[in-house]
Amino acid sequence: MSDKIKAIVRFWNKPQHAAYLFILPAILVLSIFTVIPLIGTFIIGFFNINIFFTNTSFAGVANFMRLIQDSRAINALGNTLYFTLLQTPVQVGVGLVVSVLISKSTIFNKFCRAVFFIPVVCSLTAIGIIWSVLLDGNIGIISYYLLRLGVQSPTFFRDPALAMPTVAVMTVWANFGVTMTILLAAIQGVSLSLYEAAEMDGASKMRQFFHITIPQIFPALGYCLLTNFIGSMQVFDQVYVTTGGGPNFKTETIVQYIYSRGFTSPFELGYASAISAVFFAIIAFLSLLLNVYMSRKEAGLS
Amino acid sequence: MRNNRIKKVLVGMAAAGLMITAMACGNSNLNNNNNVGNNSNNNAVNIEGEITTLTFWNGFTAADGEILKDIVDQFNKTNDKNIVIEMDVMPWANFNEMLPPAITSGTAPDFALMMSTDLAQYVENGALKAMDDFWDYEGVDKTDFVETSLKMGSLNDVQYSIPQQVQSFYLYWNKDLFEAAGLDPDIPPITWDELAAMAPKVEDRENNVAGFVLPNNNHNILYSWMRAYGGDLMNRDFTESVINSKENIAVLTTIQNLIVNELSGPKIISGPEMNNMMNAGQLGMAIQGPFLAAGLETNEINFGVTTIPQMNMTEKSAILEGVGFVIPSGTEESKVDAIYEFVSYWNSREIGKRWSVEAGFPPYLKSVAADSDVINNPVVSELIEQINFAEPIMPVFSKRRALDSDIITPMVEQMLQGSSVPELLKTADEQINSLLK
Repeated sequence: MSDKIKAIVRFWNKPQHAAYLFILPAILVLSIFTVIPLIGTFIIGFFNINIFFTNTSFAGVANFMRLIQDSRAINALGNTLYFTLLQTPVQVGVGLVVSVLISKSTIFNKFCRAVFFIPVVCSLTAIGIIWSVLLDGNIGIISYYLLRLGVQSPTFFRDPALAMPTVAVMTVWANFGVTMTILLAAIQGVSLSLYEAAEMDGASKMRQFFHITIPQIFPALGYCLLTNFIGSMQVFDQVYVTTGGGPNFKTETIVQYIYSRGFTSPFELGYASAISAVFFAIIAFLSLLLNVYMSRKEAGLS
Repeated sequence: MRNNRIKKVLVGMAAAGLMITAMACGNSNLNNNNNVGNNSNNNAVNIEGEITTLTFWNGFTAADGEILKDIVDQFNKTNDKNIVIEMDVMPWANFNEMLPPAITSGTAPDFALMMSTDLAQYVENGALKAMDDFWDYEGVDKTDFVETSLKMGSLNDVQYSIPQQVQSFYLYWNKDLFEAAGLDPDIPPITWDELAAMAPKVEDRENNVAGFVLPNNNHNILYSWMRAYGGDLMNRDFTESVINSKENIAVLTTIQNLIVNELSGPKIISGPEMNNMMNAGQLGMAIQGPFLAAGLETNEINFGVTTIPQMNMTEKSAILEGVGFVIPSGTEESKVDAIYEFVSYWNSREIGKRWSVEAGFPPYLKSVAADSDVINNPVVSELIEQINFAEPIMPVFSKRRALDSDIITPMVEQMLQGSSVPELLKTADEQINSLLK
């Protein structure tokens, strides 16, 4: 018996095997709180369940078939993609520009870095509520000043065409601090000798930016784009609070549609789970594509 | 060798202990955030003959919630049955998200308040106890309740909810804006036609003043207008849609004309935004529940409130909604009497009067309505009259919320953007029929 125990202990003591023991806690936590619920969601998608757990029945692929024909779900997916395409490039762009502008460590720049990060720590719900009062077409302060200038105020969150762009701008304002901070760290890691060499060769600031800064910080840039993309696809808080999905479902995003099917009357948790499972697959696929593209570019630049 | 091994074992145990504590701490944080009711349930002390603790959930987060809290505190101090009520408040939307899973997992509160429009889906899923034996409780007089207030909480002839408050929808008008428009400030529109005629006059684009608006997320105004003219959404047993009728086409066309052609108000606006406009003195007329009065008074708006417009004065109709006491099905039988004690305390003349006068809601108890303080209150006395003919709509219909947000909201939004009314009603008709299937 003790021979067997000795053999097991010796096996697990080897560095390459001990490593698995070290990552075991993290794997357990991830499995219990991510992987198992994910599989559970997928399974629930095959049932018809409501929030009271009464009338549970097996539905087969009915929920998935219903999803394909659901024009409101497809509309939500389109809106989510629209929001992401508006928000992600702009936010990363703004973060990049700002981080370059304040990359020198003067006192003013340090002050700016702190101030620009404040919206990030604020709750998106609170930001949404305040912005919707400011931009209210009837009693908002922005519309008041526009009226004083003689211009008819647009109704921002209630205007079918402007609603989503307004939410995107608000999100950029709220979150660009994150991108700025990450890229700032990356920019400060670029060795100064590269810039000096470029100066001596007579390169302008713009050329230095495009041909030194960007290639050097490309990994950080790729990371920002990817995480921002994944986060944008899951947008819910700020849209729900400002527009509620309207007008006429023009700003309804996928997560909000899932919420409206599963957690408000009639509480169709089965259908909501089916949408979630399919949406997970879509985001995973798109993220993979983005990641591959970024990696290729990275390889090309180095 | 030996010391080394002991050391390793000790280090291993310490690491495992740390890991487990860390996971447990993380877990309980999650629990505390997600289970509001859980904490108070654990405190329930029920030593025989001693304190009975009741957990109580409701959605009164605004100013009227403070009056409610005060009344509960008063009950806790003055009741002679050793009952202590622990109240938990959350917005109604959160309430409807948290109550069903709480009922399913056995952590529901002992009793709660529930909006009349949400009652049906809970009853359909067997989540609530019947409260018919409340009428047998000492000191309770069923005849004191106005008939229609009881109808709101009754499904299939079983009483699932005892009234806590009732409300209908009233016409508020801004007297200063009426005067500026050349209308008599003391004469509000009595019929819907009069309203449609007055709204364009009150509207003043240059000063950002609107005459009348139709909110896109609260359809009681639309339903009131439709029903006044004999139209409706569904037939009496909710099996078929009757929305595509010529009466409804006429009503919707009038509203569309008012907003789209005559520009009496913004096209897309939500209920809270309508309240804000009224409170800012930028809206001539608004149709809303009783609570708007308090905001208007705080903002010093020179306003009047009256019965909702009608088609004519002989066939009056109005919508009745309310909030009632409910008991989740998992509550222990031994606590029901204590709950009834509070419910009868609430529905007494003294507390009923306090709620009416302080919170501004019309009374549904005849004894309170006859009280001189209530009669002499100018706002409340206007509100009482309508309660006598107001009726709940769709009380047993459990898909009300889905109907409102999935079918009627898009219909209203498209109508106010100018789409063809007959087409919209036809689409709504098909959608309602498939919802009813």
